[in-house]
Amino acid sequence: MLIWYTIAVLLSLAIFSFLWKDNPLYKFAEHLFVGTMVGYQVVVVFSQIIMRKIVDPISVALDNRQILTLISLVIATLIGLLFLARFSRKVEWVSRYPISITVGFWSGYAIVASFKTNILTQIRGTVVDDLGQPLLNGHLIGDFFKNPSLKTLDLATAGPLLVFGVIVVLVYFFFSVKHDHPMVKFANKPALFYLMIGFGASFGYTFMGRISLFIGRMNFIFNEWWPLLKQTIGG
Amino acid sequence: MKRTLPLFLAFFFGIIGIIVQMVPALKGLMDTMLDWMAIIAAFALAVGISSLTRHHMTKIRRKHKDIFFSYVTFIAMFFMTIIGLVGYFRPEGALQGLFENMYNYVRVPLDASMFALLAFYITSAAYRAFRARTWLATVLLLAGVIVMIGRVAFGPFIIFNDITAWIMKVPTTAAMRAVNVGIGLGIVATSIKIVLGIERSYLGGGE
Repeated sequence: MLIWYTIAVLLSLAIFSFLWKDNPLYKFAEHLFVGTMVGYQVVVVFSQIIMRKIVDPISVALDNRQILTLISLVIATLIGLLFLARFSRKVEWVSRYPISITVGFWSGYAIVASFKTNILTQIRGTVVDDLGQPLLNGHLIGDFFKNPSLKTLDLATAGPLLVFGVIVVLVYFFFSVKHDHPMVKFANKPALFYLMIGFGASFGYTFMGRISLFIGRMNFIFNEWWPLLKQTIGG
Repeated sequence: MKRTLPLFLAFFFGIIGIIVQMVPALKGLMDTMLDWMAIIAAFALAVGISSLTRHHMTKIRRKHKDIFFSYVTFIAMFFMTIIGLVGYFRPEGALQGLFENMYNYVRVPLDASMFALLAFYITSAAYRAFRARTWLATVLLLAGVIVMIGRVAFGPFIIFNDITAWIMKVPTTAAMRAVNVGIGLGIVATSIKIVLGIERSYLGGGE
């Protein structure tokens, strides 16, 4: 196991050596990464698609005489095989068929899926919360005045601030009217304020994610590999 | 045949893509289509591998100075593929163990280190972007710093954790929600253009 741990440590260090400058060690690790990734992908596609979705179902369909399933699988496989036409200049255009089928299907699929998740769900989330309560809830503001505290202030303002933020940012992104329109002018500054907070927070979040990956690598080196090395050398 | 039929196929399968989601009774057809798409896309891997192979073969033929690294890519690719495929057919064999070790101790550390490396580069990018020259840049800087501290807050700094939670819950959600609506409208508009054959760039150039 020490050998594999050492390989992992050396490869991590080879990648981090890029911080100094581009060097052969980094290039080695980078090309190894590409090679292993592609090889792994081939194995995944073979085991999960070729075997599980083509070979196994075809043999089951043959055994059970499910002609329609068999025809469907054979047609899909033949369409997929048309991708290989790309290797011949003469019939390269045939590879457009599988491309247009996949692009067409996923585009049609995305129209409904994206409309549901990116538009309807987001608008619903701006009108009511997860429990179905309206975000613009006058009772919560009343509660704050009855019992002023940070918690009631948060409950009273979170909804209205969220709704206001979504509206001003949407207006800011609406390019169909001139930006000297009074409504758009009014929305400009608060929209940028919301966007900057959003981008800053997203940056901080992403940055900490990357840092935790780095900590993970260092943790592996100092708390897993190093003790194992000492233990092995020490007998 | 060369352009009209692909456009018709995109339209036909695009309409199927819409219908299978809107009619619950067509759940069976949706499953079949999803299988079809997985099967068809699997063959695209061959195109990717051929492109990678051609790129490195050209380097080897021209005796490029980085020829050694092209061999590294080839050897790693074939090695990983062969041990993976043999391991698939003989799950109890030694090669399956070797494949798992290659995954756990070569691929995973390389992947994690690559992404960890980005932490250093986004720091230098942030240094340039976050200089508080305007009030907007100051807001960006403050939000970023507060969230970074808030994610690792302890002791007296725990207040940053609460502020981070509020920032994520209210202004960030509002901004990202509006951005998401914009993205959604963009996806829908582009998809409609593809299905109707107005957007054809995916067919590539030529006849």
